[in-house]
Amino acid sequence: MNARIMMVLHSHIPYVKRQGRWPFGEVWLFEAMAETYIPLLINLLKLHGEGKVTPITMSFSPVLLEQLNSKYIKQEFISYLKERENMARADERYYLAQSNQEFARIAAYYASFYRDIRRDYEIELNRDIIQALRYLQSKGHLEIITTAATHAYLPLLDRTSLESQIYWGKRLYEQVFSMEPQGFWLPECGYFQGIEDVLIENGFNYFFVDSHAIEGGKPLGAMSPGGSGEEVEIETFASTGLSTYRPYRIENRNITVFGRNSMVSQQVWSADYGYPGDEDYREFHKSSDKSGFKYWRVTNRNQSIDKKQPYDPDAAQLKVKQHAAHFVSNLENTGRHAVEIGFNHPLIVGCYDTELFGHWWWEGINWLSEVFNCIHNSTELELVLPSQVEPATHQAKLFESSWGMGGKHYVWENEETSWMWDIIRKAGEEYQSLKGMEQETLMGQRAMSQAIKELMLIQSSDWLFMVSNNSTRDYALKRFYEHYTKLLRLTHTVRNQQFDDSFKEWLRRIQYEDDFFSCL
Amino acid sequence: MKGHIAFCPHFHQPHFQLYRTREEAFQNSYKPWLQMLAQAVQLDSFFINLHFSGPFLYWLSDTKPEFIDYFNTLLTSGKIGLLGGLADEPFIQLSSRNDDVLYQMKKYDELLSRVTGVTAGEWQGIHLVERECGEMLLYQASQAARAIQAQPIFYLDAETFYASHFTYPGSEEDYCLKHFGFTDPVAKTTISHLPQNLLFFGLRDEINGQEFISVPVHSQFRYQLLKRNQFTNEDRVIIKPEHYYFYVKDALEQAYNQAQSLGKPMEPLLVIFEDAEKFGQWSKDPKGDREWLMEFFALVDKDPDLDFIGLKDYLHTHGYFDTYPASSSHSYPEWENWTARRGIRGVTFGDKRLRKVICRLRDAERLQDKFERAVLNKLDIQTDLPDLGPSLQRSIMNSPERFEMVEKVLEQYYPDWVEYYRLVNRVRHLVYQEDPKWASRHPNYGSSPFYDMQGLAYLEIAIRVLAEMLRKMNEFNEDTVQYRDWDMDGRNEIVIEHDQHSLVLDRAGGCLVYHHAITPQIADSLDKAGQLLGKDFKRLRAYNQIHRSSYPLVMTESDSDLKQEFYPEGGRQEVPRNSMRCSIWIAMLDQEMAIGNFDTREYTIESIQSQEKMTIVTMRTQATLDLVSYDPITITLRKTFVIDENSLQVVFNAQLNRRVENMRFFMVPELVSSAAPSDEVHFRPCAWLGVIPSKQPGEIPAKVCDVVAIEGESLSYINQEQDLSPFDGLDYLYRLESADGSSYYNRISYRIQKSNPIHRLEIKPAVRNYYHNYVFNEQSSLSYHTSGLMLCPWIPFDEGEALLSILVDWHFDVQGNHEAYEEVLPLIKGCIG
Repeated sequence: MNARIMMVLHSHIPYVKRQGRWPFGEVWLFEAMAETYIPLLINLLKLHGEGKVTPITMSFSPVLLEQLNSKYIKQEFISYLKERENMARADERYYLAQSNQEFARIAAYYASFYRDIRRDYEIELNRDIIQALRYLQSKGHLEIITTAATHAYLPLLDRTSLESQIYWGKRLYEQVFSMEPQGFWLPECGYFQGIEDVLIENGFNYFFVDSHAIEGGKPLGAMSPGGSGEEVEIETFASTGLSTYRPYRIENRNITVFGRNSMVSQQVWSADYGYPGDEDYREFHKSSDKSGFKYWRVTNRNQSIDKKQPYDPDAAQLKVKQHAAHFVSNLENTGRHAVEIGFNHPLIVGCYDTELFGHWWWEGINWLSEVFNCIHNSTELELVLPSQVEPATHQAKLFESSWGMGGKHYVWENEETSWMWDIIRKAGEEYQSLKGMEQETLMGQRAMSQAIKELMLIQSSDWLFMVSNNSTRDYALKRFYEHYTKLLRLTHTVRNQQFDDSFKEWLRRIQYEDDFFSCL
Repeated sequence: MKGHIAFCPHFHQPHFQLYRTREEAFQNSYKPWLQMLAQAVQLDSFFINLHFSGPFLYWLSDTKPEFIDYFNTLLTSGKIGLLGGLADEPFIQLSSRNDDVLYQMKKYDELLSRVTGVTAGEWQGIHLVERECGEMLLYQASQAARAIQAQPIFYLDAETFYASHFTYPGSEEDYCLKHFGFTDPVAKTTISHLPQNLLFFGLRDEINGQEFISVPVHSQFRYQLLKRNQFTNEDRVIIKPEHYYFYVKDALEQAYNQAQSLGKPMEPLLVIFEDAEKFGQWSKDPKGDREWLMEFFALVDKDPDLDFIGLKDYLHTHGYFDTYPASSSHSYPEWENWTARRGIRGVTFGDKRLRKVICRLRDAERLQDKFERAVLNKLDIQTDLPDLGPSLQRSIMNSPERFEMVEKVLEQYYPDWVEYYRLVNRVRHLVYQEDPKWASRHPNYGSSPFYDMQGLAYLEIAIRVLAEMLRKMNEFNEDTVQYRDWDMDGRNEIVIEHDQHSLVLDRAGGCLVYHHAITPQIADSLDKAGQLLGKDFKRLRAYNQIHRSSYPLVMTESDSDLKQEFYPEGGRQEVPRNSMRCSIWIAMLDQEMAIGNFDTREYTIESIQSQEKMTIVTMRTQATLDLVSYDPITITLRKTFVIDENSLQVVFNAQLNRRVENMRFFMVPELVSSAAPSDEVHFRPCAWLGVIPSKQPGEIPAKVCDVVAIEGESLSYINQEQDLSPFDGLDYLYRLESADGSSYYNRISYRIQKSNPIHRLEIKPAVRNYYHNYVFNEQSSLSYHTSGLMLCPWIPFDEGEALLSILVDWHFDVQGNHEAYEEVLPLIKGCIG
């Protein structure tokens, strides 16, 4: 064995429960469940059933866990799957009537896909994704870590809010998994010096950063598919001589940091040569006006959207196998190279958004499974979990950084979003101003409890990203304003202690809408 | 939503099934079925619709009374319904008679009520063999059902209703698109058809005023049942009962919702039809299958939205969907998925071996028809309208109750013959059983001529019983020799009928295509023949010794070596090996080569002479061949068949028109018999050749190809070569062991009457491969124990002429004493000595 591979998948969907269904809202969660989480879990369970131990690390944002655990979401998800299946069948009939057998076959493929996901969700997972996660964690196939409660972008948050996000991130994990989380995923790999102290205070043993935070140099740039592609000035960080091939202890602190490996990241993320851009893979950006299903393949990334050719799932599946073999071969080469330059059992950390696989990159889950299989069969590679890695013996001082474009905070703080940070700060202050007030009435307690939920929802990194990205800006702004308005009414009412009937009715309604973190 | 499941397993073993096969299925499947049913009937919502095929029930009632007793106690639970059907599991639509469907259904009713006490009025529905139907069968079956107070409820394959043309206008199946190049706008827009998810209800239809209800069977619920692997290679999960339950419920929900959207809040029905043997026998894991099924039953039981139901009970409670099946305008196209949609008529008549069975059935039907007309002629109709007589006779002959009416007339006028008539009709029906008709040409399951061989053995006796009764009525006017189109291929064959054997000679290949022999004791006596049929048929016995008295000598399997390919992609027809083909070979410089296709050439009939108890047929073929470096040569091959009451002599005579230097010519006749040994209990068959030595000096090299070597459950084939003393003949002895404990030999003797000195002798299986590469290799591969024997003596030309005169006769139920022969050639290794 030459190299140890640590695959880290970070899972997050903003809080969308009862916040609209389509085109923005719950559908995001349902898509991620259907296209990513369930297929991934079923594949992991299958590997487990075959006696293959292919351990990976996954982080889940607490808002996502809460939603996956929600009875309402579970029920609505089934309806969603049935709707999709029916819509695919209607498409199949439509295309057959048009003598378009190619598209009809793809429609039938989608119908089977949604039916099988429903089957898997109901039978294999018993409608309980969390339980499957617990099971896989108990069997050593997964190490699940937590992140900030509502996935706030931490480097720019005020100290109190930062502590609150990390604290509740841990508490909610404990509530769901009945154990303490060992690791923490910094949302967007957003790091600044000092954050490790809060993590240490909360008992965390390790976290992850992007490669340039450890090695210096030029950041990777692209953060995820769907990025705006806007030109950003990219800072070049001073080269440190350190390497992500090993874990480090933060200088004078008792916490470990793992650095993302640039090669394994680029191979998947790169807009220029990443696998998802292959001509045979399904094109994400072109959908049927009629049903929303995607019938085309990438064809040629540089051609316009109207030049796309029909998708062929079988051809794509062949590519999956080729790309998985290529990826693992690269891992082996990288491992050998690392050994040659003096790293004994080098560590290669690949960090990805979980939703990249399946949702963005339709074939991604199959690719992952193939990769796990290939690594399992490789004599040079071994998948490891953070808890299986020996304590770090080398120290490092990290750069302030993120995995976003430019390597620092640009994606979340820029001309488009700076006003939002003002509101986020004001919202924090508003809540803090009342925090010391003891609430004698049940209504007061309920209002304060709801206020912190609204505050945390305002702090979600998602709204900032969407505004920056200009993709679902209106929805993001609507949500941002709504939560802020709700917070203001709550704090205003608590301050004045004017809990009239109208307020009570309104509170009931928003408790129903923004119904998460029951432990709060 | 409330949905219902009609679970309809089908239990079947054909008539004449091998003892060992039946017993294995009994241990692996049928017994475990009862154990599981005992458990399942405890569940509140459980109900099952069982169909026991007639042959299965005959076998059970003959050999497994304890099984039936136990089953009947389970019946009292009220959780088991029985489906009706046909007595012999026949493809009765192949019959030429109008009354056979009713007869079959009545016989089944008699049988089922005798065995279980359940009568036709209580049937939950009616099983049609292989769900194979055309409009005619549906009409006749509905009419027959009403005649016995059963309800015409049939489960039929969904595809029967649901032509994909309507499912997917624009698809490859769209005839309009296919032939005219555009999508049928009517199919797209206005045609009233059932979407697929509405095929979960009873559907009313009627043909010629005969109303019936059909319920679709969806193949996916067959294939998924009891599966324990992935649905598809790409699928992520292993199939479990929960998955099956998921799909069943899902289909019912969709059907329910669709019906609701049409303003019909009906509760849907899903029929699960499958062969019962899938449980335990196919998997060889009865325990695992039982757990699987019980888990599925339990899931349904605890689901308030689902229950199991009887087919008829469902229709009584919920009625039918008030829509005619979409494809009624397609007239229920005869449909048979397993045989690539050729339909059963296509399968039967497309295969030359199967066609022979049907042709012999037609001979029997023709004689039965004559007999019935003769009987009806005796009917003295006292009427004021004397002209009505002929009409009445025609009406009786066309009536679905023809058999019963003739039976009544016989009781009146020929009471001694009533029983014979019943037996003859019973035998004829049995030969229509489905298994040899489709299983023998199933793309996977291969040949099962064994069933047909036994059926024909009885049929030949039945034909003689009919002939004898006609003779006694002075109504028998059949010629011993007939020149007619026996096999319905558009060309005449020579059919020769003697009491002790029947045979058919075909000009194609100049060969013997059918030959059946009866022992003289039976052939000469109506009483003895009747008694023999009565012994085995009055109450059908599971195991018999019919081959002591009656045996098909030539009924060979089709032979891939004789295939005719129509185009390279695969269209081809296979021809049975038959007997008395003959080829001409040349030998030059150590090379041997067949020339002139003499084994398959068309022969002309030179003469047919009929003397008392003897027929002589002479055929001839001639070819002028251009042999490289030589002048053309003309070869004439003549075959003379001399057929008397109990033997067959064949004279092969080949002549060259001139002498050819440096080249040797051989005439190689093929003396073939499909007679083969059988041991249905231990699967250890035995057959060998005994050599009858001559007084001539010298040696004849002999090669026995593909001697069967049986080791445990596996077979291998070996070639054996040895030199034989010159011989006057060969005796072929093959042992027949039945599960009733009987064991005996039959012998076929080949005696050389005259011959050029034999150069060498090759002994081969009659057919080595049939439908090679079309069916599984292990099914395609045949040998002595499955296809019979072929003797090929190489007769050298001497002075431009080759001659072999051979006499063939047969003796059944003889001692298999190999020690009586000086030289013996085993065909199955180790079975003697």
